[in-house]
Amino acid sequence: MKKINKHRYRILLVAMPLLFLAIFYFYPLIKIFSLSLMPEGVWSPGKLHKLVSSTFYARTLWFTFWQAALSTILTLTLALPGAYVFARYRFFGKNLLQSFATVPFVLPTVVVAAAFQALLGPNGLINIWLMQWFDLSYAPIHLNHTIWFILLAHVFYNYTVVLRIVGGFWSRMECTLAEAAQVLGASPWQTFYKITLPLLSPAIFAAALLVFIFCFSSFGVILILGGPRFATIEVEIYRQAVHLFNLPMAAALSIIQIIFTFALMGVYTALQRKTAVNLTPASSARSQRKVASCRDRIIVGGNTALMIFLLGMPLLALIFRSFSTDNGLSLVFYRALFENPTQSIFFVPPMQAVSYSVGFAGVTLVLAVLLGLPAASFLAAPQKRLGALLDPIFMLPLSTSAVTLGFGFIIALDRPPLNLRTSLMLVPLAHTLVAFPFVVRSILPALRSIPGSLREAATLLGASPLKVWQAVDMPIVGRALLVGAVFAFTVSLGEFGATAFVARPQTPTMPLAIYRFLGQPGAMNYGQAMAMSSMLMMVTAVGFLLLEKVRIGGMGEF
Amino acid sequence: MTLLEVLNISKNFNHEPALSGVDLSVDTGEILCLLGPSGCGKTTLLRIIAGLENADRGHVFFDGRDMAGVMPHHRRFGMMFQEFALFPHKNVFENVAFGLHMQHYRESRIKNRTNKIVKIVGLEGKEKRGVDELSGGERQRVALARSMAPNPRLLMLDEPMGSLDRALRERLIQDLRRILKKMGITAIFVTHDQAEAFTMADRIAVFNAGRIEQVDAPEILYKNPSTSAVARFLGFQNLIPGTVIRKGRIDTEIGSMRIDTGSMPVNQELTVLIRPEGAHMPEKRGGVSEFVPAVSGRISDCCFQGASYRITLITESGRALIFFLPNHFVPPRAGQKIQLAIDPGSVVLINR
Repeated sequence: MKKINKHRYRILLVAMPLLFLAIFYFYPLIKIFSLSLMPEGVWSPGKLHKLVSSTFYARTLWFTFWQAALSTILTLTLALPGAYVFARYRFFGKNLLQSFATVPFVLPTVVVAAAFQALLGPNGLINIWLMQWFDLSYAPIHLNHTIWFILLAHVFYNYTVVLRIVGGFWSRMECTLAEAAQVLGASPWQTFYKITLPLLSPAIFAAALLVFIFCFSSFGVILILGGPRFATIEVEIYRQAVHLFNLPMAAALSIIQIIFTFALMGVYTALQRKTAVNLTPASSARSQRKVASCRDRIIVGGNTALMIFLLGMPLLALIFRSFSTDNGLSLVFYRALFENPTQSIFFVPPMQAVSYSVGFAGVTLVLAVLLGLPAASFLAAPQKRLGALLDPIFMLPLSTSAVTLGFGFIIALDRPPLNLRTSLMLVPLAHTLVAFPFVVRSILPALRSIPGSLREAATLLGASPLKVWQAVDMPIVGRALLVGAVFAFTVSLGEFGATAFVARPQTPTMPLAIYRFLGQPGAMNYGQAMAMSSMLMMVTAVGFLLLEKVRIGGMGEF
Repeated sequence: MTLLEVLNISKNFNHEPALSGVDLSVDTGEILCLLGPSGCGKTTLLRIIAGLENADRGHVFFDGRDMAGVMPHHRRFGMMFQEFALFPHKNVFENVAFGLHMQHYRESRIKNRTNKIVKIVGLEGKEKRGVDELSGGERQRVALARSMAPNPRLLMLDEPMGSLDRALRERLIQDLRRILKKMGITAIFVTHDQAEAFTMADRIAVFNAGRIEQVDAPEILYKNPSTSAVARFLGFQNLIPGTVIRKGRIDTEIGSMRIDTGSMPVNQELTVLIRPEGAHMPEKRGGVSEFVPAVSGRISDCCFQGASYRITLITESGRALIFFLPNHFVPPRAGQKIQLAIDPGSVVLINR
C-alpha cells in the first residue's frame, strides 16, 4: 500500500512538466506536421512531396549543409591548437582566458552579429580606420553579406565548444600513454597520429557534431550578416512564414529541420555517452607542464594572441562603436535609447524593450525552475523504464530549433482551444520551453551526486521525506539550482529565433530591437543597435562569468 | 661490464630538489632495484634515464655514449609504467606489437616475435582481447610483454606491482624475475616494497629524499645497512644511539655493551642496530654473563606469531625494542621484568 502511494507521489512530480511539454511542445509540433501533410484539412502528402522535390528546397538544404560543414572545419582548425595548449600547459591567466573564451558562446546571436558588423561591417571599425589611414573614400573590406562573414561569426561562436570538449578530454588523457609510445620508439609525430589522435577522436567528433548542429540551425547570424542572398532552412522558415505568409512551405521546411536536428542530436548523445567513460581520469597536475622553453612560449603565446584577436576584437569593437560618433566618444546612442522620436521604428521608447526583456526573463526563470526542479527530482531517483523514457523526452526541446518552436507556437496557439496570440505570456512560455532542458541538465548531476546512503542515513535518524529534502538535497542542489536559474534568465534575455515569431510589435525584446535597428539605415540606428548590444552583452557576460564561479567542478558541461 | 652509468644527476621541481647528485651504474644483464619511500625521486630518475625528463645537472652514459640530446624514441629502452599505460584503443596483440611496428620490422617477423613474447608471459589465446577486458594481473603481463618485445637495450619497470593485490604480487614477482633472467635483460626496477626488492634484485639502491644512501647486493644490504635511514627503511626498529668509550666497549642509553668496535675511534658517535631475531632468554639462572651484550626491561606485550613470539621490551630509559623469540622457550608474560642476552653477530654498528 505504502509503495503505491509513493509511486503516485512520484507520478505527480512529473505530471506538470509533462503537461507543459504536451501543450507547448508536442501540440505545436503536431500542428506543423498536419499543416504540411494536410494543408486543407485532408490527407495530401503529394503537396509536401512537390515542395520537397523543388530545386529551391534542395538549394536551401544544400546551403545549410555546406555552410555548417565549412564552419565546423574552420572552427576545428582554429580551436584544436587551443585545445592542445589548454590540455597540456599551465600558464598565467589560463583560467581567465578560458572563462573569457566562453563569453562568445553564451552571447545572443544578435549581439554576435552586431559585434561583427561593428568590427568588419561597412561602418565597422577596421573599415573606418583603413579609410582614415589610407585616405579612401570607400570601405575597402566587403565582408557584409558574404559567406566569409557568416563563417567568421560561426567560428567566433563555437570556438569554445571545441576548446572545452576536446581540451577537457585531452587534459584527462594520461600523459603516460604518449610517453609509453615514445619509449617504444614512436617519434612525436607517430605518437600523435597513432596514439593521441585515435584516442581523442570521439571527443573531436562529438565537438565537431555539436558545432555542426549549431551552425546547421544558425538563424540570427545568417539573417543579419548574410543578407538576402543567403538562407539556411531556419532563415527560410522565417521568411516563408513571416514575410511571404506561405505557411505550408514553412511547415514543410520545419519538418526537414526537425528530422535533421533530431538525427544529429541522437548521434551526438550516443557519442557523448561514449566519451564520458572511455578514459581513466588523470590528475591534470601531472599532465600539464609549465611554459619553459622558447618553443613553449611561441605555442602558448601564439594561441593566446589568436584567441584574443578572434574572440576579443569583435566585442571590443562593439563597445567602441557604441560610444563613437562623428564628434568623438559620447553617450549619445545610449541616451537616444530613452527617447521616442516620431520617426522611430518603435511604437514605444527603445528602453521599453529592456524592461520587457527583463520581465519576460524573470517569468521564464520562475517557470523553468518550477518545471525543471520536479522533473529533475523525478529523473534523479533510481528507476527503471519510465525514467529512461522521460529523460530524452525532457531534452527534446533542446534538439528542436528555436525557429521551429516559434513557428509551431504561432500556428498552434492562435486559435481556440488555446488562443494566446495577444497574450503577453506567449514569449515567456516559448523561452521556458528553450530554458527548461538547461535547468533539468543543471540540477540533475547535482541530485545524482548525492549518494542514496546519505538520504537513508537521514531517514534512519528520524527525518521525514520533506526534512530529508531540506537537510540533504537542498544544500547540495542549491548551487546547481542557482546555475539553472541564471541559465534560464540569460537564455531568455538573448533568445531570438522563437521570439522573432511570437513577440508582438508593441512588446519587443532587446534582441528584436537590435535586429530592427540594424535593419534601418542611418548612423543613429546603427549606433543605438551597438549601444543596446553592448548592454545585452554585458548582462549575459557578467551572468555567465558568475556561473563559472558558482559552478561545481565538472558539472553542467554541455 | 658497465652498461649504464648515471653521473651526478640533479633535478629540481618548483625549486624543491627531487634528485641531488645521484650516481649509479648498472652492469649488463643485471637487475638493479631502486628502493625507497614514495616521492623520493625514484620515478624521476627513471624518466631522466628514459629521456622523458631533462636533468638540471649531470649525465647519463649508455654503452659509453652520452645520452644528452638523444630523443626517447631513439634510445631503444623499454619502460613499464606504473599504471601500465596500455593503449586503450588497441587489443593485446596490437599493444605488444606496437614497438615492433615502430622499428619497421617485416609483418611476418612482427607476428612471430609478438606471438613468442605473448607466449612467454602466458597470455596465449588472449591476443584479440581488448585491454579493458583483462584482469589486473593480465594487464601487467601485457605491459611487460609490450616493453620487452622490441628487445630493449635497457628495461625500466616503475612499480610494476603497484596496483595489484598482495597475493598476486608475490606470485608475479617471481615470474617476472624468471622471465627477465631467461631473456638476459638488463633492468632497473623501482619499488617501495623491500620484500619485492629482495626477491627481484641482483643489487639494491636505497633512495632517500633524492639521494642514494647505499647500493649493495640484498644480503649485504640486510646485514650491513650503512645508514640509519637505510636500516629504518629495511624495517629495523631497534636503533639506539651510542658512543664508543674505548676499544670494544660502547655506551648507550640502555647501558654499556661489550662489542667489537673494529677500527672505530674512541668518542665516535654511532647508531647501534639490534636485529629482532638476535635476542634469547638467558641460559644460566643468574642472568646474562657480563661478557655477553644484554638488554633489560619490562615486557609490555607478547604475542604468538607461529614460528616465534614477538615481544615488546620497554627499557628503563623508556625505549621500546622489538624481538622475536623462538617458540620452543616458555615465553615471558606481559609485565614481567626480564634480561635478554644479545647475540653479538646480530648487532650492527652504523656510523653517524
